[in-house]
Amino acid sequence: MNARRRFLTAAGCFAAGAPLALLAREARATPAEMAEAIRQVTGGAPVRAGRVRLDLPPLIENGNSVPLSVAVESPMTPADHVRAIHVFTEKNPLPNVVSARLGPRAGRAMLATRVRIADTQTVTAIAELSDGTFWSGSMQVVVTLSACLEEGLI
Amino acid sequence: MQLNVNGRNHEVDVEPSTPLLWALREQVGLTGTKYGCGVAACGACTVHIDGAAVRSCVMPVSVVAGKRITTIEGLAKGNVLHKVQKAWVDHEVPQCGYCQAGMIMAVVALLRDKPRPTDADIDATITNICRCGTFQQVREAIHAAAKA
Amino acid sequence: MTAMPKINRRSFILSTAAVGGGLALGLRLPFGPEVVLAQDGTPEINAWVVIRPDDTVVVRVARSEMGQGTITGLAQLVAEELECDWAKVTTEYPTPGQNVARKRVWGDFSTGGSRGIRTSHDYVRRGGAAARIMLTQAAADQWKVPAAECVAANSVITHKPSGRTVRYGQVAEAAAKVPAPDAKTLQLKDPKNWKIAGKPLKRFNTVDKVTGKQVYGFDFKLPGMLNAAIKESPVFGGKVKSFDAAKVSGMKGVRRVVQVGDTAVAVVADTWWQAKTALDALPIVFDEGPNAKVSSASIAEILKAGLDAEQAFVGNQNGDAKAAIAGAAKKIEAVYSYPYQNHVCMEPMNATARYTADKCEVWVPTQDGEASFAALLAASGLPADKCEVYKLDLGGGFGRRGAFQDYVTQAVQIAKQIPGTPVKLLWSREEDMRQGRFHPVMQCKLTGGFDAANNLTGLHMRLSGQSILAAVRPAIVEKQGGRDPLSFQGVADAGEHAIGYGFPNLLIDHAMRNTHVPPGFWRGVNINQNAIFIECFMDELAHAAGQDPVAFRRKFMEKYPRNLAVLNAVAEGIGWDKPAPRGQHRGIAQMKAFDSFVAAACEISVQGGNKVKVHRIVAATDCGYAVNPAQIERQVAGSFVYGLSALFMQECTVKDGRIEQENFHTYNSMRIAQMPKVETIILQPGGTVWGGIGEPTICVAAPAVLNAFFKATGRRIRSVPLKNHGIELV
Repeated sequence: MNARRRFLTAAGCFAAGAPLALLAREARATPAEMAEAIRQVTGGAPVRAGRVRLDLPPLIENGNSVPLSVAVESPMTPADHVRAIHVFTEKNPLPNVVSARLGPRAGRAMLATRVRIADTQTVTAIAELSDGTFWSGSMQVVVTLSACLEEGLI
Repeated sequence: MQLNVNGRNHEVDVEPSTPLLWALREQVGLTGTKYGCGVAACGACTVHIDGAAVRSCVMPVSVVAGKRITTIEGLAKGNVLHKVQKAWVDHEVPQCGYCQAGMIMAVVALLRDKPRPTDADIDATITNICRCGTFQQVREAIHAAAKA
Repeated sequence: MTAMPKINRRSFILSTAAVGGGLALGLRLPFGPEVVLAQDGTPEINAWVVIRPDDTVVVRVARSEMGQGTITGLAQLVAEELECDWAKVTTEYPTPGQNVARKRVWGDFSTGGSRGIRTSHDYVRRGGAAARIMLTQAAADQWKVPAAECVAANSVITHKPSGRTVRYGQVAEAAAKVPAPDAKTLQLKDPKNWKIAGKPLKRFNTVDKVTGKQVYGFDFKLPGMLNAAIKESPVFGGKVKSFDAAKVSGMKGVRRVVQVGDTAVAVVADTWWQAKTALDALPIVFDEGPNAKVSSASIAEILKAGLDAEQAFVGNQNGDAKAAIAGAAKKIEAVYSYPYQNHVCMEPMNATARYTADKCEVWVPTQDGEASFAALLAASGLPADKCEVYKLDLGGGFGRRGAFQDYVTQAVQIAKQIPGTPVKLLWSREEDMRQGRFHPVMQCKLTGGFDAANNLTGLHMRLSGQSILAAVRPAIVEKQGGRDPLSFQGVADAGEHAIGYGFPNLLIDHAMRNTHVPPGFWRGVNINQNAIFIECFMDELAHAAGQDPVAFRRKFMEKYPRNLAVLNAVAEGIGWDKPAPRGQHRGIAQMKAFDSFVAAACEISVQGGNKVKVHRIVAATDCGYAVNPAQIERQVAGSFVYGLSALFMQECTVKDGRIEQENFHTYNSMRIAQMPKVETIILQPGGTVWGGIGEPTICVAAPAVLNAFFKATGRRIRSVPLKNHGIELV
């Protein structure tokens, strides 16, 4: 039994208390919030599509722990390397799911981790290069909905 | 051990306690007879032993060696369907179809004993489970086959 | 068997674009851009339609056929717009891997929620229409005439002014190169003019089903295949602690004894019977985990407390029900309950998997090919372009085989331990009964208030019990602040499951009480218990007010004309205003579910106070449009078998943290002798919304029978199944 189910069961036993106030807030980001979160990282600089390869399973059964990898084309020399890789989602509660600082000593501009994917959505990885430019790669992922729910019905 | 299935002899290497159902499916290779419960409660595994309907999931092979075994695959004569199979097609009886082989075998045996069964005969003899609930069409098709 | 198309790899290149992420389709083709070849080399006209030189029409269907007739219905819709000869139509399942590679050109694969036709009819019809336009254009181009002078019918295109004709098969290759029309601009036929859809046409594959040729997952065979039997911790949440493989490794046919994930152990052998025999003899010790003491009694206590709890999630409200009830001249209160139930598909769960480091494939009966694919990706760790799922025909789905792909995960986990060898994993019936995804347990307290003139002034319906979505799709529950909107199916404030009554003051709320038992979508889902709760209580209210149950209901249905129409249809059909046959008593119920309006009226007799015979059920379904009336009739009657079996015979009880019922002797199902006569009335008012068929009617038979039982005996039964009250279906 996961933490979420335990929490909901416990919450049911309280009269309107603090945990419920938390639940009552609508908790999800929007594409606009994602765009803003990206802007915070890029400072408004243009982001070009390319050089970033983002890999996630295209179909996801359980969004709780999804393998994600990002690879950026870069020689990773002191003169030309990736400074940071950020991953953003449209619909997770908080849009910025991963931020990794790199440098020439990293050797390879790559990260592999696990993230939580709340729902069917577009995931975007942004690489910040040492020359100040930003590059991106995106992917649509589908969380295979339960047999009785159509996408977007609820 | 030798099993006579649908008129042919098959040499099978199998423990004598193996249920006939599994010897048919796995050694002889005929998968038309189905596993639904393994305790003779549902009828999906119904075959004929010397013409009588038997639930093969609890029948050890040792008991049926030398007897005439008929499975669903043995009902039709070449491309010509048995009249019960034909009635099943005409009345569109199957939904998912998984229970129907056993249902048909039970019905064929019933019609052999009672060529014109009453509804009470059907109620008493056909006790197969169908989760899709095709019973209304099963009853229609039995009466149609009886008249054919 | 429904065939699976292979994309002919010699004729196009599938390339994965590194730039921009995701998968992009790059096609290099001898025939021109965007043309894909089917397995036999025939060019696709579009993703939905392939036409062979001999005029055979292959319709691609994304949803799964599980006995509900969806594949035939969808093909009818495509064929209608395509204007082809129905006798030449066959169907084919695209694979989920192909769907991913082609950016989900076939859309959603999931088959559940009574959605197969109602949510795909529009785009599949457009697929058929587009193909017809391309075929017509190809003929016109060949003749060098305007397409507007040509008409397509019955797989033949005719140039009206000259009388020239050409068969579809002759222009299909040319049609594949015609640019596809914009789907949005296509004019679809008015259902009033349907010639193929709307007709009770015969289904595909029936002959295979009666001759034993139909291959189900259980029957699937591959060369070199081994068979696996599995046992997972019977206590949910428990883990494997140890097992003594040495005790069975020497048994005949046994090849491997493996742990599967954290929670299960499997024996792999030459035959399944050998595997099962060894598994039964294998000593396994489970660490039962924190839930080993949970029982039905302990769960019931928690639910009971929820009936009076302060906090609950509101699903539907208007006015102030609590105040109205507090000030009422007369109060009526009742507590109902509904148990855990297992789907019990005739074919137990199974999947076949073959794993190598370069490719992982699964063959599985599934309601959702994409969900199976997702489970395969997660379990194999391989990327999507190295994986594939092949859909097999299902021996029943009912909601067990859609969202829940545990058997796929297990099969892959086993196959990964025997790389290169295909492994067929079959569950025994006992394993299937224990490892269900259960219809959730629920209690309900209903309170109604009347004024001095016997008018209902307020109604409070408090649900207390388990949420399915909290376990299966927590993101949705999160989005709604902790509330599970699905709990209110059939009594919701709006939408496809809106309540069919207008009450002056109403409160419907849900005290969520989740347990360790894994919940799932059981045919109809929450309408099953909600229909009993509301429709039986409506009868209790009517009785308290001294009014006829139908007349009482009508007073609240002025704004619900479609609910009223089905209620009236069954009332008329059963002869509600005339006396019942001697010794028989009647009951009635109505609900809106999955965008269809349904009602049932039944006639029963009761012998000795407890032997119930259901003689007749008149059912009405308003689904907007009926694509295949013969299938609707069968779905309605079939849904009553499912629903009445549940009502009379089915309960999964929990003891020591596990489900007690393991086979049909303790979890029975209806036989033909118990089957009532069912008459189906189909209403087709049309409109913009298409209603579902597979599930809606399942919920109205049980309350109708319970209401009739009260008429017959004076006993109000409020908990299910009836066998617990010594009541038998005869």
